[in-house]
Amino acid sequence: MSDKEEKKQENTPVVKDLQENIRVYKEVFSDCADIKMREMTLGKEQNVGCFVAYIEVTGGSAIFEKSMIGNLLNSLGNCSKEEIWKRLNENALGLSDVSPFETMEEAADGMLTGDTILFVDGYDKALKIPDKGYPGMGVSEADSEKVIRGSNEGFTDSVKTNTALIRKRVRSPKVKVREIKAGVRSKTNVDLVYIDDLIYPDVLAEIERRLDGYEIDGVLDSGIIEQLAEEKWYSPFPQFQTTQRPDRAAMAILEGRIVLLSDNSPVALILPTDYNSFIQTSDDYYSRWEIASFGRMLRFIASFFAMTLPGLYLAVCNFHTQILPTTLLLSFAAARQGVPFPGVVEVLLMELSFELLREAGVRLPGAMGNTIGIVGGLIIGQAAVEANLVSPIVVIVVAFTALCSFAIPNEEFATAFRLLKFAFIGMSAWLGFFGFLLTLLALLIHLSHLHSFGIPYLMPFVGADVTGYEDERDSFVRIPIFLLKRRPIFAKRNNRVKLRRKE
Amino acid sequence: MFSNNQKISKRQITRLLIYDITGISTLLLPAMLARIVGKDGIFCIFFALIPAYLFTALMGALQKKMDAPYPVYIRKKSGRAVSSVIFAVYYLYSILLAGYVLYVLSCLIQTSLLKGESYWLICICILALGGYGIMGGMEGRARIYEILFWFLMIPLLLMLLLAARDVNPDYWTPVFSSNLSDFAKGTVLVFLFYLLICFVLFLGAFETKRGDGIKAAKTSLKVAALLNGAVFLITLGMFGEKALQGMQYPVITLMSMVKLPGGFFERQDAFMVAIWFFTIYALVNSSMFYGTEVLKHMIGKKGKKRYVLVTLVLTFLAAAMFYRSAFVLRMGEKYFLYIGIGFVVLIPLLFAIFSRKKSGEVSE
Repeated sequence: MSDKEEKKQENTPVVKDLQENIRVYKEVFSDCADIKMREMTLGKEQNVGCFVAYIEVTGGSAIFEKSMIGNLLNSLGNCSKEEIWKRLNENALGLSDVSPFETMEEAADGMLTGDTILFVDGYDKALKIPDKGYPGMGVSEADSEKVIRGSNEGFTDSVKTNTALIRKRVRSPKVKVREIKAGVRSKTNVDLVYIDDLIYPDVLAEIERRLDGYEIDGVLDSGIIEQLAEEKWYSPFPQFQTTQRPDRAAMAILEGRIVLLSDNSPVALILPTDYNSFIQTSDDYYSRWEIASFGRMLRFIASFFAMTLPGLYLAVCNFHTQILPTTLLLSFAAARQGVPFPGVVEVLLMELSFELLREAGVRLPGAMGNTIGIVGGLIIGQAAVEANLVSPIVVIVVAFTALCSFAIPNEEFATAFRLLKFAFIGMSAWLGFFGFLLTLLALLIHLSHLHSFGIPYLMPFVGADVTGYEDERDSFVRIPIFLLKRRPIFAKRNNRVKLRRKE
Repeated sequence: MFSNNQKISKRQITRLLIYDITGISTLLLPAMLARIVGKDGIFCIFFALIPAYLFTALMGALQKKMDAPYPVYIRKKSGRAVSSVIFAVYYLYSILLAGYVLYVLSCLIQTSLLKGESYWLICICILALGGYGIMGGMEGRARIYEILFWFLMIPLLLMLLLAARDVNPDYWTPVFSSNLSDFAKGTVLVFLFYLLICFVLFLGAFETKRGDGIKAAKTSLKVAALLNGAVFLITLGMFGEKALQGMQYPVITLMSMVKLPGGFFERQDAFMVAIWFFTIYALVNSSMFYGTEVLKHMIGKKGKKRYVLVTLVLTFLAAAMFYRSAFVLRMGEKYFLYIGIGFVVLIPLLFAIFSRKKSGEVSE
């Protein structure tokens, strides 16, 4: 990126001479076939020149009369020259969302947000008139984080729609939206949504500092921001929580957390976060506490087995066979008869095949993705067992591991376990249960050192005394909702009560 | 916001201390006590609580006088030269302790999980993790053991409960058959294990509330005595005095014999070794951590990595010496029993007296 180049073009003022403005504007957008520019005249006597510019698909060119700019131009068509300037100067255009710009660069940026720019002869400002905006998908069902109970709305690609979806759920003036531009060339809108009196200002300042810490060409998805703003880049564990569900994001801001929305991305980032938050789902709070707690316990156990099961299998089968009952040991041995590979190769072969299937399933179009699952899982698996390439027990272990990883509600979080699984396999194959314990301890040490914006990753299982052990009530078990009276650690210390019985 | 200020809560201190004391003591004490005092070992376990509590009271009294963290206080009160000698004594104690415990843990892994595997490989793997653990500071260490506590304690208590069904109470009697000298030796031996609470003095800088460490030490002593008492009685009741005397790790053997009702697994010892792996690792880690802290104060220069590295190398050398030479091992055990105890008790005692004289205050 050439910064000098960027800085060279700054601050060309909009002048009263329309032709000069048109010349500069056309120079800025030369060779841009998608930008439509029209010179027109206004007023009763058609003696005031004006210039309209917009991106082809964002402006309502086909039905210009029905668009805001069309209406504005029509209404100015009945005014005299003096009246036009008066209305422009007094901002009496009958439109609520008109932004005046004093420089050509601002005007260009304004148009690139998807609105229309209007220059009027004799008026030294450019006006941004809201228009259709960029095309995008409407609100649809979220692809991931499926719930049994609760809203099915998902975030869209438009940051404005996404903030509105959160505001729709938390209709409080204390919900604040701070907008930042990210990407020197992409100028992506990034919105930080939070509840003013619940967050720690330090956390907001910290995320702003981190966002400001890089100068990048383009931000095309929130994932880029996530990676740039993470404290420990080498950790496989995400330090931001992601969600595609507005209700999850709304719940997060009610907990005193900050939601980061990036334009062109249906994935919101939530900060700070911890291990416990990744295991929670929206419907944990919509369903009865017994089943919510049961589901949560299952997910915690699943997260453990998603990374450890193949390693445990190898440790037991290769090193500590004395643990198993003789009958089971014999059936394992019988199942492995004829398999030419050692246990570790067998497990790795199956695990890598499974990862390949998953990758292929994701990349292929919807219906074909399902087909590859059936072909891979059933036909190839069956064929591999019959050809004595792998033993049936390994197929069971790998399938169960996969099932466990699917039970983790957050995809980014689940990937950490998918990767760590290979470390467990390697160490257990090498050093048996000792290798397994070493890897587990290394993982625990890593997690105990990990933070997300100052919050220990293992909260509330560690340091829960800070909140008087209140946060433990919503961790492994979700106690009845009428007992969850306080917000978690993320919220400001003096503003943690979220539920109380009316007098 | 949550503060990362290297402060730890009373619960975290208690759990750390329980790990530090019970891991190594439940592994080694039953056989050692059986060899020294036979069946009367159970009385030594509880009798040793008296000097341990007195030592806790001494530490409490000293802490009340301290206006700075322990190493800073030592330097302030005794000057650079004397304090350097004291730091060197503490550092030697920490390194030898870490080395000895590392040796014990490596041998345990070698005999229970990885027969025929290289001792050095096991040792280096544990040491590497020890170094990684220290780098996270006190909060990081405390968090690991806070989260692991019930995951380790529940299986242990469950297994002890199941083992208790097969205990033969006849093996517990007759009692009071040992002579006074053996009984004293046994008590001193148990006290040596309880003395691991001496690290509380170094915890002053990390306590959320002043005095948490002393309270935690008292709780952990109670838990350690109860657990050791239970393990001793169960192993004695299962194997009898003679068999117990000849065993290296009776509690591990015990775990291999317990049958889970309706259980799927034939033996649990491989899994149960995890308890001693984590708890003894905790002690290796603690000793190296406090050693590093002392070294930092002794040298007085900033930086952490170099001190950790020096401590790791010296701990490895100590573990290597204990492994390679039976003589060094015997000397090491004697050092802990006769010199180590002396220094660990004497230094705080002298400071408690010294500071009283200097300030004219009456210590509690």
